[in-house]
Amino acid sequence: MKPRANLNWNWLRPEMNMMKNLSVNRDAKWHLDHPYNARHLLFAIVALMILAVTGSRMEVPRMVQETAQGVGYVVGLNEESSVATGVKRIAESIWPLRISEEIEVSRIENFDRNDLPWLSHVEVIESRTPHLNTETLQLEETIESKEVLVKPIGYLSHVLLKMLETLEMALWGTILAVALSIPLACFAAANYAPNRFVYNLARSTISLFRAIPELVSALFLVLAFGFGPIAGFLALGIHSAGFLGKFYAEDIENADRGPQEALQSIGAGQIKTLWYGVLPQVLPQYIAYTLYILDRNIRMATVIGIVGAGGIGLELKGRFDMFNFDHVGTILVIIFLTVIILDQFSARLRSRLM
Amino acid sequence: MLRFENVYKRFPDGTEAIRNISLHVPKGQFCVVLGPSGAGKSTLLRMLNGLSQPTEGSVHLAGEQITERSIQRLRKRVATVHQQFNLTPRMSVALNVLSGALPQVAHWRAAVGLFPPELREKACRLLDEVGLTPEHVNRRVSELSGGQQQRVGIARAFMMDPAVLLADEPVASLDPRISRGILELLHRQSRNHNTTVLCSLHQPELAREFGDRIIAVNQGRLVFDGTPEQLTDQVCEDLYHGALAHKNDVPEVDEAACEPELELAAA
Repeated sequence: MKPRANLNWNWLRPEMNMMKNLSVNRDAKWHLDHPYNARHLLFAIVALMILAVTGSRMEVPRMVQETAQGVGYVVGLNEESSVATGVKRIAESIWPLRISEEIEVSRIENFDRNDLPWLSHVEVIESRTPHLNTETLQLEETIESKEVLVKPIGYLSHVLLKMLETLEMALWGTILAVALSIPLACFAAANYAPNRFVYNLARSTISLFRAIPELVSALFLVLAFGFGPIAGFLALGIHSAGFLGKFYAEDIENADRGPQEALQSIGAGQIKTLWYGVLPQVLPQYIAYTLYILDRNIRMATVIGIVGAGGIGLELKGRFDMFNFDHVGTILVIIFLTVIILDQFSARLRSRLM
Repeated sequence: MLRFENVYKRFPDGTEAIRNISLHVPKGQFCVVLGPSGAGKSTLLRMLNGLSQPTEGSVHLAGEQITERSIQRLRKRVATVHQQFNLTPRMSVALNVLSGALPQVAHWRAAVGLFPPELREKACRLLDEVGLTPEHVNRRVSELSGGQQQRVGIARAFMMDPAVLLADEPVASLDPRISRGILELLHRQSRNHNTTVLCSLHQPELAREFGDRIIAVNQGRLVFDGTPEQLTDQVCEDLYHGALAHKNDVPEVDEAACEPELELAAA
């Protein structure tokens, strides 16, 4: 056997130590806790009670029953179902979607028969209105014929224009949010706030912005600025500034201290340190947040019009109240398509930036 | 140029990082600071660029005491080269070097990134001096290797013609060959610009090669001050393992206990 005096076993030391420890603990009593105990049981009982009480208040059983009836009606088990008839009625009135627009010629001022708008034509339609002749007690029909200007894609283009207005509202809401939240975030980052008071003030302003839902602030802003997009984008901007401010501030706080110390140590000052030591680090994150907020604002902008703050929601609300469900159908399809397309777009943009 | 007078530094948690250090570094000297991790080397250096303030005693720079008021003016003459380079990632090499001159640049120029032409020329000259080539200029710093990043860090440090250069373990995260290159560069640059250097290191052989003077700190105390020739192997041994070192609290492996397993493994 070769002498192994000069062999170096140091590399084995950690393993040796481990083996030593194992042999020492061989006689120790091992005990693994049972996975469940009384506390888990108590928790389960409380959770069940909450579910039972709130469930009955929310009429969950009726929901289940009527949905089941509706499903039964669809597959042919039930004769009737209130849910199914309701859905059917809405579906029937939504379809076909309203694409064209008809305007009575007599209501158009300065109508010029030789210079019709693009893609439109004049049609004569006859409408029959039944009414009771009081002398003969017979139902009679009077036939009225009126001339209408038909725009084949008139309503669609109207909705698309409203959708564009909605997108613009979302864009300006986001711009406002960024403009508001960048200074707020600098003051709300613990390592850049000039003092405790300013820090707390900025933090609470951000929380306040976040706490007011868009629909609520829009209600009041409509009173201040009147119907239209101003109230809409202000409401969106204020609410999303609450989110962006928080995200931006946390990123500033969590940015790598190294580059900041390097600039601080030569006396670059706070603003320049933020600009050159922090911003390049957090910029991709900022862009991702901002895109998310834009995405969210587009979805919110479609509904914010319901309280009168401009955009497609105003049109939706008006048509819904007049029971023009075919118009409502067009609006919903347009909203749906826009949100899907923009979702794809922003997801792709975000993945390229990361 | 640099003077420490009976400096103490205590952290809020009670640890004493610096205990009664008095030190004078004359102008143009390349002074190396040795010492094990946690000895107080970084704290010593950070008191010169205002990232740390002494609890007791005073620190003087070019005959002026460093106070909260004077530091804003004085720190513009002190440049720092950092262990982790501390460059801004995702920013170009050019902007990182130019950011070394930020205190001199007007706010609007800094905001839009329009640095004055003379600073741009200076940045190019310095990048050339540290051995980078024009094709590096517009690349992101994070794309460069560690050694190249430290070269960018050195170029940035010389943007304001510093009187004092602090190098806080500039080669701790680099391999030995690149470390030598970086220290050669630091040495040459500081000679050419007549800069006083305080450089903390972990490698005694590099300290002997590049230092005009070597000091060693341990547990916050100055335990050695001398020329490279005086830094013998015995002093190094004492500093890291022996008389000058603090008690080693890492448990020793009990050789005897390993013996049976060694026999098995060998057989």
